[in-house]
Amino acid sequence: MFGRATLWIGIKLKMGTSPFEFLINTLKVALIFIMTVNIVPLLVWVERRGPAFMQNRLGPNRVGPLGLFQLLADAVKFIFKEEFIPENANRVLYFMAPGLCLLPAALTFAAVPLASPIHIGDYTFKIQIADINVGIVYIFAVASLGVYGILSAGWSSANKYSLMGALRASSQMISYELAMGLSIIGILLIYQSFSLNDMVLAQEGPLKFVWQGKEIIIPFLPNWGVWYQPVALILFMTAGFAETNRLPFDLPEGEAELVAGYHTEYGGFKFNIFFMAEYAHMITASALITTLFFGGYSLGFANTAQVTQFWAEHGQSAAGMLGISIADAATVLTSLTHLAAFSLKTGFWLFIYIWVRWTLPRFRYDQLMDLGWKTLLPWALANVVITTTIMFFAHVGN
Amino acid sequence: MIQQLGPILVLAGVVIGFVFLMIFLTNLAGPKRLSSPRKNMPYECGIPGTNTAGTKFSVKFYLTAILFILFDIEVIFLYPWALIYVDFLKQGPFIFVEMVVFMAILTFGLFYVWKGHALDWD
Amino acid sequence: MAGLNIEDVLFYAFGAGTVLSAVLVVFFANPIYSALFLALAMSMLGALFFVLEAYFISVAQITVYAGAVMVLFVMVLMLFDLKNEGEDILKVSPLGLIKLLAVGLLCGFFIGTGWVASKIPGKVISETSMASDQQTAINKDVQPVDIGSTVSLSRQLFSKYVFAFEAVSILLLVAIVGSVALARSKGGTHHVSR
Repeated sequence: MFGRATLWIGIKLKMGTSPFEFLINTLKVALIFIMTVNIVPLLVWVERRGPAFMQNRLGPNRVGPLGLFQLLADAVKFIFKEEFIPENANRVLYFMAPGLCLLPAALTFAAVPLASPIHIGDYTFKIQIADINVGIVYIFAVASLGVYGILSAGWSSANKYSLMGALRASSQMISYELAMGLSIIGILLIYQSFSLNDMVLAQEGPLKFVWQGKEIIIPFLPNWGVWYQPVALILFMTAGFAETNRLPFDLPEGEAELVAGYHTEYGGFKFNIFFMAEYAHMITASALITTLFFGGYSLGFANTAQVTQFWAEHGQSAAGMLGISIADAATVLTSLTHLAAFSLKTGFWLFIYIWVRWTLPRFRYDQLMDLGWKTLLPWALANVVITTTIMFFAHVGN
Repeated sequence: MIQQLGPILVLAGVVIGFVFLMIFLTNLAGPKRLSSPRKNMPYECGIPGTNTAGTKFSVKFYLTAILFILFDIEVIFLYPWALIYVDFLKQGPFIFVEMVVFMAILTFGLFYVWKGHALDWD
Repeated sequence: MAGLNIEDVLFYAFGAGTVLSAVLVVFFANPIYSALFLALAMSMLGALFFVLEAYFISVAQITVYAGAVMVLFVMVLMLFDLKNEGEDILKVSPLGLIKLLAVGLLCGFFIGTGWVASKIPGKVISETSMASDQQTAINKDVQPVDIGSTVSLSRQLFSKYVFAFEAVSILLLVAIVGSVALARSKGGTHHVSR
């Protein structure tokens, strides 16, 4: 009885018409979330070894080969730490704040397409948690809710430095949310759709655009967004750094200044959750840069149909192993190829994030806010106006 | 609708469950709370805290937040406009002029705020 | 379970969540709790819009209301070291009774308007608006798209309601000037006079 009710709820929630589809969809959600959580240790390993080499020292290299298990050891250590709560702290908010930080960070990753859809039998599975038709605006909406976690953490710690750190962090975040939101208007003008899936599909094939009725094709460049909106890429990247409170914008958690800003009074696994939230934001920002400007999961030199055809010819052994038809196995292998391409591109941008963090010095707070309001915002507005004008001349009277 | 909302609700459930599970595990596995007055004081780099009589309210935070609201509304209006811009261009330059007017008025607002020293020191 | 749609279940769930959050806003004495529950109420309202398939309005609600306006409230409340509100909601005092009376009048106003509106012959309203929409569609030679999708929303906004749209920009400009004036009058902006 209980099982049937759960299955009914599950089927209704997923529109899955059979338990198999429902199971696969649920597994997909859980897997993508766990994958996001587990990339964090890898990222932290890169963040400690890579910059260590940049700074002419070796990072942690004792625990496991090349120090790869360092963060596993850290996570286990976090679980065994004491549950600490400061004296005048607001208990409810103190415990809820890490969750309030992690929830928006995880929800924003839901709309990003990771690979091309898989067809097995009669079912089609899209490799993303939810193909939301207002994709990019949904991501900005949920990201703007991340401010509450920081404010709750800072205020509930009953520590005036935490509170000041939290207020400065949230002011910084909302200032750069503006520039971020404005910088993608140019991309929206070109792709005319909010859905990230549509944007990735539009970026396949060679560079082609319409200029006053003539279609111009440049065959050796892929149809990526970076050729159309280079300024928007720079604005989006910079705003992304500030949104995720990474250096050079990490004054709110300034390691030598406000002790640790809004998470000063946190220890143990709650502290770890704050860091997971920050890295999840980083992953989402890198994934967005890849999807909006660099073609998402598509390979630059071949579109989905060509890749599927390639695997249909060469993928016989995989079909035999899985027991499904050759066409279906071709879609699975295509999807894996696309996932690899997506991971490579996102990984590259994550490395850029880490590289910049250990290279540039930190901004002063007034410099930071000046950059957000007096530099990025006017440039973003100018980008919108210029893109609008160019599109006007390209399309008027068509 | 439900194909989009369902997975998001499931994901929210998974995240909340994960956080609860981890905090529960930590409660089980960690040492019991030994509180001492030194440990419970607010952390100020280890020196005994100086209890100032409340922080002075700085109006910069309020201004930043209000200006964020207003420009956020402008951005929200720009999103649906961007969807139909190329489509409406077929009917002439009206859609272009309309948005230029909108943005010009708000850029004037930004200019006023800038020159009015409301964005300084922050 | 016949006829129990998932849309209905979600609608009632999110509706109940909104009402509950709104009630909790006035229930707590701590102002920060009230503000946070109001933010939750706004987010639930956004989810409700999503269930009703008004996708763009849903994300606009969350972005502007829950993500900007309530952030302002919460930030300012956290800056002030407010003590808990002294009046208990159950304490009988003249001021409390006046507040209750005002809320009752407001509810009565809403219910009364709804009742009066339901008495107007429904056929007239729906037929008039449907006829005008059909006419517009035929005139502009545009096939009628599903009402509520973002594209149709923006089509209407930028063709039929363009005056309201431009008026919004003037309204925002007035708000910008007003907020700067307010802050300056309290001695906030460090304005160096010549």
